[in-house]
Amino acid sequence: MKALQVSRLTKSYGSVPILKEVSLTLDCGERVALMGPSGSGKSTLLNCIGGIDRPDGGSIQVGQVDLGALDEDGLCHLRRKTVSTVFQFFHLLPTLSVRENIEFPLHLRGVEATERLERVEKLIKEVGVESRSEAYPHELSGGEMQRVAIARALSIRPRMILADEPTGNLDSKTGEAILDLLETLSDRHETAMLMVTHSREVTRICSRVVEMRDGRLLEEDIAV
Amino acid sequence: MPAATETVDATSWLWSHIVWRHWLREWKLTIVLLLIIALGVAVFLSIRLANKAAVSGFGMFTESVSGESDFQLRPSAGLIPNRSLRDLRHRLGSLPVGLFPVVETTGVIAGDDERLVRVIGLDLVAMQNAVNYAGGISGPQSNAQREAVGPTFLNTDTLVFSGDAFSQSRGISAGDELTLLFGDREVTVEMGGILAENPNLPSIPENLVLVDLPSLQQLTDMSGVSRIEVRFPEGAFRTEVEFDASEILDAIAEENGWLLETPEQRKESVTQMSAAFRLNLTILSGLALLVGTYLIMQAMEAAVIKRRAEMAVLRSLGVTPLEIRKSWVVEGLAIGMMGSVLGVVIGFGLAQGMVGAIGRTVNTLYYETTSNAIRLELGEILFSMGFGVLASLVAVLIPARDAALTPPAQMMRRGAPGGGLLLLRQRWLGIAVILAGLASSLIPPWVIKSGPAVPIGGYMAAVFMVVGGSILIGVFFRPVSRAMRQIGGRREARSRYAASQLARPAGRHLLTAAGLAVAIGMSAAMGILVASFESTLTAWIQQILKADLYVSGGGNSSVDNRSSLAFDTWQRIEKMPGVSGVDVLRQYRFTLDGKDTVLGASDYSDDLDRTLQMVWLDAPRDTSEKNLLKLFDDKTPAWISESFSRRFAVTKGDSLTLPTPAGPKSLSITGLYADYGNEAGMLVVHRNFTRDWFSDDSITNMALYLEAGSDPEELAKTIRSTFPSLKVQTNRRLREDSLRIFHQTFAVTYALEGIAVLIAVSGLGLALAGLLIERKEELITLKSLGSTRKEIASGAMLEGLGIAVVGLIGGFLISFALGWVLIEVINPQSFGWTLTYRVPWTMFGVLALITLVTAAAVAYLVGYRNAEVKSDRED
Amino acid sequence: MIKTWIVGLIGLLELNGLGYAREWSVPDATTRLTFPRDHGSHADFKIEWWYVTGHLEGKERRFGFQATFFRLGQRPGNLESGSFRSDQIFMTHMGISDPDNGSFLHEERLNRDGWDAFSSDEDLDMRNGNWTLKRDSEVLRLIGGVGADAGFELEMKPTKGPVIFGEDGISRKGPEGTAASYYITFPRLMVSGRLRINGDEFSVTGSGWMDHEISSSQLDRSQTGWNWACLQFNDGREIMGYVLRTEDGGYSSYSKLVWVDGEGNLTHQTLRDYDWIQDGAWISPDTGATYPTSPEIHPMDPATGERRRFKLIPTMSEQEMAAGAGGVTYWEGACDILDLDQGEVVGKAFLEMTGYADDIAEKLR
Repeated sequence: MKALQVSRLTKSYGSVPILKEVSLTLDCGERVALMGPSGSGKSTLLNCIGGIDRPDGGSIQVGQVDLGALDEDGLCHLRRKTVSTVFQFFHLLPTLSVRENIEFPLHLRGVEATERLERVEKLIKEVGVESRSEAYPHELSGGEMQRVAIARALSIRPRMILADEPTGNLDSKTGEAILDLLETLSDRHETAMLMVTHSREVTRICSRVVEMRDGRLLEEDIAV
Repeated sequence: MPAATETVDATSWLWSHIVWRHWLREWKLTIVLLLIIALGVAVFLSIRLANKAAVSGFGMFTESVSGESDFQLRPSAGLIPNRSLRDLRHRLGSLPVGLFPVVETTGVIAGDDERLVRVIGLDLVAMQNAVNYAGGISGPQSNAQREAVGPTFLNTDTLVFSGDAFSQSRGISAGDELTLLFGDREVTVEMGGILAENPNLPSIPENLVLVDLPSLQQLTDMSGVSRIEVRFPEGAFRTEVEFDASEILDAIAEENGWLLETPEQRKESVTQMSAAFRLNLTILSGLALLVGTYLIMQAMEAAVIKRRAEMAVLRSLGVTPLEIRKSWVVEGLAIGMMGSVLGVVIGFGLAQGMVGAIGRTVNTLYYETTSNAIRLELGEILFSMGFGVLASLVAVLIPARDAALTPPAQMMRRGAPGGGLLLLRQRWLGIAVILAGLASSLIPPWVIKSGPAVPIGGYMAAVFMVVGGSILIGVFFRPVSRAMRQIGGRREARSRYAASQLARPAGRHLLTAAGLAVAIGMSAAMGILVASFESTLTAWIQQILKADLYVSGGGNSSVDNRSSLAFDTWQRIEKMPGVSGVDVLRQYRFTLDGKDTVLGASDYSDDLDRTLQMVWLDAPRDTSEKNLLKLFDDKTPAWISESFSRRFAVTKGDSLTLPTPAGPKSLSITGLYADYGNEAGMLVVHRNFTRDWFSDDSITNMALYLEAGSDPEELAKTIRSTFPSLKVQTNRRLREDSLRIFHQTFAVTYALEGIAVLIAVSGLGLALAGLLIERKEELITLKSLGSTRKEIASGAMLEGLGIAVVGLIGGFLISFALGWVLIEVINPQSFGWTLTYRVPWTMFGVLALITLVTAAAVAYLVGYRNAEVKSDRED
Repeated sequence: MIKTWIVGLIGLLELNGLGYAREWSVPDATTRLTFPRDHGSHADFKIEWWYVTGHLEGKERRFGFQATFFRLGQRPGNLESGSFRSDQIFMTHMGISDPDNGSFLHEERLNRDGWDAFSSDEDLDMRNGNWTLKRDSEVLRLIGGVGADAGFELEMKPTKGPVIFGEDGISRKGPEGTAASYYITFPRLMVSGRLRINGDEFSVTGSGWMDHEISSSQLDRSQTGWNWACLQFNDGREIMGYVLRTEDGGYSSYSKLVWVDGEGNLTHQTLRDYDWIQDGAWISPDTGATYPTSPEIHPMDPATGERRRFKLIPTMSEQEMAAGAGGVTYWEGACDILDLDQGEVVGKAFLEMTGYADDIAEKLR
């Protein structure tokens, strides 16, 4: 089974076409880098897959779920259970502590307290923020914030993680560490990952790089 | 897993982990929000409570010392003669009915300013029986009663009693002597004792003096009683007694032209008089809450924008729009609740201060009453809180919808302007609402069963004008922007930046300006009303006050002042050297169609130019004395005031029947005049008639005209030394007095105005803060382009000023419309006073200045604070 | 009889003894009472009352009633006029006992002389609120009641009298000449009329007793109270008797008992001729006072010269007039007369006991 199947996706804002018949497939556990200049449509594609934006045409299938068949609530449930997003600016909830940020999606899913605790503890260890688990986002460094964001994304055991410039706002050394973490965890949890990036560094943990230009996908395999 | 539990869980979790923590984190904003709601609720509640307390004192004078009666029997005019009492008892036969005569008058205590005291005469022996009747208590208990050695009320006529409040406030205790002034009479009495409070009765009013009935008759030379309290005993055949007695009493009342009423009816009929005034206050206070609603809406909108990115994250994590919306609504409700609770506390305090002011107004304009202690009633609390919660709910609904419906992808792009309040962009809607306002101003008033007329249409028109005006406010942004650009010149970057913001106003701009406009509009409209009132009144006073000296009994100018000058007294004054002529006026209170009003009687001598000056609305064919003396179709000619005309729906040419002690008299109305001094209305006849009808040659007050060359101050001194209990005022003094009373009347209104402007300006600060947060990216850009913090701040100041200017323009326009509604619709309908429209430009200027200065200061501060962004790092 | 005690108890009435003797008149043995004038009011005396009690029957039910009109002079003479006079106060007590229902109703009413209360000085004609007592040729008419719970209109026809107690026409209560009264009594009235009580209405008949006592002072400082009774025997005779209790627990020698025979002739007796034995102990739930409600009276019968032994049995225990504003508490109730020797009821009586509620005795000294 494929983790993601996008076929002939189109999307325009007003009269400006953003996505032009984009097709893309990810295997389970596969990591793919999505590159391309600003305005090429990378983020829009990511938003469509995450169910945050609606395409005009084509289809998106995550696992066995066809996004086109889902209503707003369905998309919400998709985000609660199947697809997680990691952002460039981390987007931690400022009022929640590290632990609570990671725990939050589990709340939404209604995961039972003991299991929630167990999972959160494990994730805190996995991303290496044990010492900061009670801190609040504004007390964290950029790297720490992204670690928490990754833990939050993984907490629901998603089929796929969408990452929008995950290292874009980090210095290179921290970026390296985050990439290592993403690699390790995605391997461990068999989570597919689609990463929008400008950075060639990122591609080192990816099995494939796809490039986007003017709303079209130019696929490019790279050897790692 | 059921979806429902999930949702509930999510909402409460959002509440406790996100909303609540935001509040704690931004506690200053939270406090401001709570205070806005609290202030709105407080003003509303306090006005309602103070209103109630201010008039609840009416009629409690006797109640507070003797409990409540089943009926009151009172004459339509004058007194019930003593000789009628025995007859009344005979007519009732063996029916066990308690009859408790009451003499009621007013007086002044020497050395106690001019505070009117209510002097009640009860038969203190018979009152001991009150306990045997339903609702009765064991008679007035005085702490001095048991010390029977020495003077008792049975062997001296100069003992008076009072409650503790009276004694405390005047420092008079049992055994002290005090001088009571009843008109031209001056009597020295002794405080016989302090009456014990009865926990089951209203507390004894601070201005109550109790005297044994025969003593009071003796002291004031009255040979009748003001009314008779009727009580039925408890027991197996009480209903029968009540039925039989009512029938007999009804017949007696009918024969004598008396009125038989329950205390409730009586209280209602009297307090109805001020109902319009009190309703006006309540509605004004409701408008304060309306301004508050605008502000909450602004603040919520700001919060939505501020947390827009957060909303997007929540959406991306799978929180549904419904959950987001719910959490906002819950947030609004919670703020509404907490603010309202706070408001109840503040309102309770505020009411304490207001009750005095309202009480003074009611005393001056309507009837003597005492303010009761404010009672915090659950119903009132719930009503006001409900109003507060509703206001914040309304305020949060639109922002919550915005928050939930904006697609997350759009929200992710930071700073994108929200959908905003689309309603505020609908010009056609604004025009339609204003047209609706015009239309509703034509709706006739709603008359509550012969009580006050409620100008429903007027109020609707007022609300429509305010809402419509605030919708249309957007049109002023462009011209203001253009003006700012021009004033600033081409080189001035800050004004250009600010102007560009104003040229394309965001929803927030509109909302802020609208809130400001509503507040300013209301304040300015009240200003127009007061100014119109004042100028009308001043002109009227100029016209009617032409004599050199005015003499009356002591006490303030309450319409309920019952003091009088005996014939000998005023004759002696008339004959004093230097007096060239006098006008005298006798006033009688009477009841017509169940409503209290005043009968005036004057001599109207045609002598020179001295007739009582009148401002005619519909003049008689001949305004000379003859007009009032010559019977018209065998009817006594009478002139009526405008308020009288409105209250009794009669006008020139109509006839009416006046109850007098000498039986009913037919009157023909031959003239209608303006009178702004008395809302109860006045009916004027020649004193020749009342002398016979009331067999009374005393007068209420007199105006003295002096011979050329005599000094009014000198003569005033002479009169004062001859009759120390009289109040002698020079023309100037009386004019000042009249205006002072007038301003007292509007004391509460001034306070409300201040509060509205306060709320509006704090709203401006909130709104600007929101705007700047929303434009953080732009601020970063400005900084990166080299703008200093001060420059950003002054840019914000200019923008704030621009909004303030738009608010001012809109506000003043609203005020013209609202003022028109107040003066042309509401006032004539509810008070019966014709006023000339006058705009207080000075007040407008001051208001504008205050608003602009405050707005500039607030905007600058907010700009300065928000310019503190670090362009190198996002939060 | 109790009535003296009232004076001065309420603060609003002038205290007794405040120089009364100077102006108030004192009963005088040389004055001859004339009727109907002396049924009326005597404003130059300080204390005056018209006391009516009786026993009523209707629909096989039995009731006792009391109606006492007090006139309490505040200033001697009759100087004032007008609707609200302060020189005399009228106090009226009404009581009705309904032993079948165990209900005793009473009410006190105070009014100053004037429009709502007055008494004629020409004949028996007085009013206090809606309550009235007046002579109408051969009969006396009484309208009274208690609240809206009881009301009665009675016609009372004297079968003998009036009699005047006191050997010289003056009833003396103490050694001082001032402590004396004119004591005029109708010892037997035939009563008929209507009574409404507790929602029922009755046509009633029965017998009544009326005292009219005029004085300015009866107080003796050593006295703590008294026990008084009027007895109406089935044989057509009556007894009026009392004992004045003294501080030492005994009876004052001014205690009296008077027999009235069928023709209205009087036989005056002192404590030598009769015994008054206090018996019974009813404790008032209202005042806590204990009343000996079943006394034995053992007088010498003037008809036979033998001692009789009567015991008064109250129709119900609770007939206490608890103090109102008037400030006096006493027990005043209907009784049967049990002849202890014959073992049967021989008549009806009214018993009065004063000075048992503590506060009163204290105030009086």
